[in-house]
Amino acid sequence: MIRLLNAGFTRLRKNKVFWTFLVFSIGLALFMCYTQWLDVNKYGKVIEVEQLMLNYSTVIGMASAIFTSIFLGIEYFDGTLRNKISIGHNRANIYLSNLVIVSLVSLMAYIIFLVVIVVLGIPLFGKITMSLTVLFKLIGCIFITIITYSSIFTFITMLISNQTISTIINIVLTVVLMIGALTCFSILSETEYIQKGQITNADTMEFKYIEEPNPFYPSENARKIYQFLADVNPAGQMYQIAGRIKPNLAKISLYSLANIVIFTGIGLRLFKKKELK
Amino acid sequence: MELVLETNNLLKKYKNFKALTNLNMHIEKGSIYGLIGKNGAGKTTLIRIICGLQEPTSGNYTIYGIKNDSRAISSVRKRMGAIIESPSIYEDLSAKDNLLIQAQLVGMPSFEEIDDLLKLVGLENIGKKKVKQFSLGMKQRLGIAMALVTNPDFLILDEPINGLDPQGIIEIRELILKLNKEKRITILISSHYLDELSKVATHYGFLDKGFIIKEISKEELIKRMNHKLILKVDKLEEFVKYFEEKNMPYEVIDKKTIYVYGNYNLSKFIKELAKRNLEVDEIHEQEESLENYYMNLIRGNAND
Repeated sequence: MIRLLNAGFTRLRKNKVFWTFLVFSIGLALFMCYTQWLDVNKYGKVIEVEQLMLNYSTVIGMASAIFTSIFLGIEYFDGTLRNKISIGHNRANIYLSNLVIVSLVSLMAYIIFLVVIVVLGIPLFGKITMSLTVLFKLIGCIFITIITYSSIFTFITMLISNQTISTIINIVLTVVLMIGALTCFSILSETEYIQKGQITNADTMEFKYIEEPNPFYPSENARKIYQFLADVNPAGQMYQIAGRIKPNLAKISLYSLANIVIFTGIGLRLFKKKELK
Repeated sequence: MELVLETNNLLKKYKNFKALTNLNMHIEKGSIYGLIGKNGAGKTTLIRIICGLQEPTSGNYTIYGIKNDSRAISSVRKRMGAIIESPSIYEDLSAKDNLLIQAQLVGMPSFEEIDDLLKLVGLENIGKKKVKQFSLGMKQRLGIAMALVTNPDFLILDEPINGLDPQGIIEIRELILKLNKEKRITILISSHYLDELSKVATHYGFLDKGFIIKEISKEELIKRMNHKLILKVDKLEEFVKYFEEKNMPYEVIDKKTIYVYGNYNLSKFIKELAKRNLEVDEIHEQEESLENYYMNLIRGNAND
């Protein structure tokens, strides 16, 4: 395992996609600081540095999908995966070392983003106002969800031998997860009653508001299901953390860990049986 | 005789298609084993199984006496190097970086040997050029260097000269001979270029429809190939008795045809037979090429 990790890190140092991922993270942090700073100057907006720190969580899934697909997919494309097996490396170790590497890279990208935001954001927008304990808890949760994303993308990339197909699936899946999460939140945000204007006097155009039950308001059971789907979905977790809509961090972390264990467990089993060419 | 690789009734099925059928093969230590077969005969499937990329449907194999279902098979594979179909190299890295990664993968304590390996395969002056800019021959040589990083005792080369120009073929051939002679590496080469194989192999395995139809050493093959008398006879049993008595290598082909291997003076040979009242309807001498030998084997297998 150590040998696989050593070789993986050496490859990483020479890998353009890895450096692009890091540069993208730095660039995004700089861009966010710049646009927010313009808003402060033009409109006198109050910017919370902690909010900027959390924002990357909503898009890191896509960046991680692209990086993982290309970095691991090359192993199939260049045939280097079969080399690892034919020189005696255990399939489980190959799978796990790849998971460790892509998870660390995504975490590293997020940490670099945080560093840039803190270094530039605090002088530009002022100190962090939120309790540091809460902030660390939120960031910890983001870290676990990043590993969840990595375990899902590793699962797909290690089981599909065609790099193009696995890249497309990872990207499409990320979009589907994001849309799915937003749909859940949209349904959950429906109010029980809606107000409608009713004309009471057509001559004077007098009207009054009446409250009607909202047909789109989900039932208690449906709410539970939508909330569960939003909680278990890594994109849903990230939106809840970044939006700070009172996320249940313990529950989200538990679902994340369950996702990691399930995807990695099934992935290991299937990869061990996979017939390689 | 120490065997590096032995397979026992290997069977590999893909749904209803049998890629390998009761395949039995024996590779002696120190040999260069030429695995000969048409495209689709099962050469690459066999190599994929030996390298652990696929599992046999039934049957087993041993590498250095370790069975494929043993936990120790991974350790034994560390004594192997392989190129399967195409070299397993990162195209966006240089030759040296690829070797460095390979050295880390096998846990080499130092990387001093990397330059020697590049020199051995003739890539010492390649600089930092990325592999994607290499010619096919250069990639193939780098692939061999990668396989040699493990300091293997057993090297597997699947179609190593496919797509190479004449110069590239010569370079690979010389490298294979050098590795076998100087480093005493046992080599398994699969190819359908018989002429080229005949220049390096010390042993042959003829594969057809997933089945090894014949294993033979180079010496035995030369004996059989160089001189052969083809006899058409009526009393086959009496001829067999005579050849047995005289300890002459022979092979019964059908009810009327018998091959006698070796160098014989044709007139003396006929006289000797006549003394024993053995009448020959037809006799002619044939010098066989590896290609002929292979084609005859395949035909024989098809008739069976």
